[in-house]
Amino acid sequence: MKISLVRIDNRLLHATVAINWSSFLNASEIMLVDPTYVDDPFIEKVLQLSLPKKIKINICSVTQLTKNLEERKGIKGNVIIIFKSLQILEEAVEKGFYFPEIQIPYPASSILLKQAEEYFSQDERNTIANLVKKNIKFYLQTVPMESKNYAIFKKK
Amino acid sequence: MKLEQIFNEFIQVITDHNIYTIGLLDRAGRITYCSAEGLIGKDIAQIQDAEDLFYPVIVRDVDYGILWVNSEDNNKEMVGPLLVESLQTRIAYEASQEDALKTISLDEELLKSMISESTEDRKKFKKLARLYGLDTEVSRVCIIIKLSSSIRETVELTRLKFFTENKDVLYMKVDDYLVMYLGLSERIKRNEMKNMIIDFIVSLQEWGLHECKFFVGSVQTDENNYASSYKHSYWLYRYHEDTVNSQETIFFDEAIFSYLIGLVPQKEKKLVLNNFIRAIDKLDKKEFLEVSQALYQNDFNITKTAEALYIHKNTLLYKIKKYEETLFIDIRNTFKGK
Repeated sequence: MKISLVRIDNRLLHATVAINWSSFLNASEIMLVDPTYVDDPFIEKVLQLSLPKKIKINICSVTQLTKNLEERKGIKGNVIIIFKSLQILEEAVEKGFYFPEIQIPYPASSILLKQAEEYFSQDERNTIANLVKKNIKFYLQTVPMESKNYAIFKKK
Repeated sequence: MKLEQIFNEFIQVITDHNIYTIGLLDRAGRITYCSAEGLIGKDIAQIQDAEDLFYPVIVRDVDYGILWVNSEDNNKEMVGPLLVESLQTRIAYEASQEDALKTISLDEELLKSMISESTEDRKKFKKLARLYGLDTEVSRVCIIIKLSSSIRETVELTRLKFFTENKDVLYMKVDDYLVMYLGLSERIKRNEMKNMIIDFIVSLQEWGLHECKFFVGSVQTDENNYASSYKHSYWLYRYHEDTVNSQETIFFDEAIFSYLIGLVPQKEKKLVLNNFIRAIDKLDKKEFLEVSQALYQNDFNITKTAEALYIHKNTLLYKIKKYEETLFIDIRNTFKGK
């Protein structure tokens, strides 16, 4: 299975992802990496109701993510992975997960965008810097029609 | 909008979990759908209690009512918002799919007139192009995509509309293939167009149209000739479908000679090629055809052709020399001979 998009989004699954990204990328599965709801089949079923059953929603921990990706090798299809936070992504990278570019939705209007310090805490900026050292790029993009904006993450 | 069908899916999940009751109320407070069937039609005011939570369901400024959640579960303050978010997301998803279907129907109407060469359809196309804001100053190419059986069964082609939305692409499904027109920016140089088309096809394959065959027609700059692009791609599809492998792309400009030969009446072809036909009678025709095809497919590269035929290079050269002597042509060295 091919990873088509990796995104950080504390809202996990909502209309922008469900409607825009899942169709644009023809996703057959969306993996939500969030320890809060792991092993709660009822919550997973509630989130699954956001989309028709042919697009599978899977809530998993970082460990389960690695296992899921391994099990799906060789299966045709596109998967979207959404991490609830940068810290959870960092944990996944430390356990061997890698994807070259990570999407973060615009925190404000793209026209009024300010510096990274306005939107990310010091801890978050440190996490980003650590991951950039591991050849991971970050970009802002909310919907497919927008172009990717790497500028805010570039070192000055 | 199949709201009842969507809500029934929610009811199914809630019923399986068994500690929640959910319902959808209209603005007057009447229960229109409910996991407890006996409450449908009742006024919520008659049964309201302290465990009730209410969430308006509004999607794209349309009011779908109020989601009512009732439970003694301690987690209901967390579950309630998840339920309404899921419901709103699902309604928005289904609405967007319906919008995509409508757009596809409009595309189909436009495409049917675009691919036709009749005068009446020409006029209809110009009218529809103006109505839908289609830029007719743009070069366009028709691509016929033969869908594999697995794609036909599993891929929802409505979703393709979202992928192609900003790309000046129109498509419609006809039986087991797609007819697709790709607009090519005038800023692109002619020699870059082929690469652009290839990149576009690769993106379609990555999206999900793998194991499909792509038949690319001629690029046409004049709106009056857009239909010719379809004619050429359809010709490729009809006459090369069996020779093209899955996930392969064939361009009309690679088969122009075959197409033009096909336009020559059979009688005329016989008169011109009579001498050759008599000469070929002296050869092993099956072998001659196999060698000719292999040479053509390998661009007259002797090493690759020999490998394809599983014969030694010298054996191949011997056969070619025999053909050259029989047909009085120079196959190895001149384009004319080839």
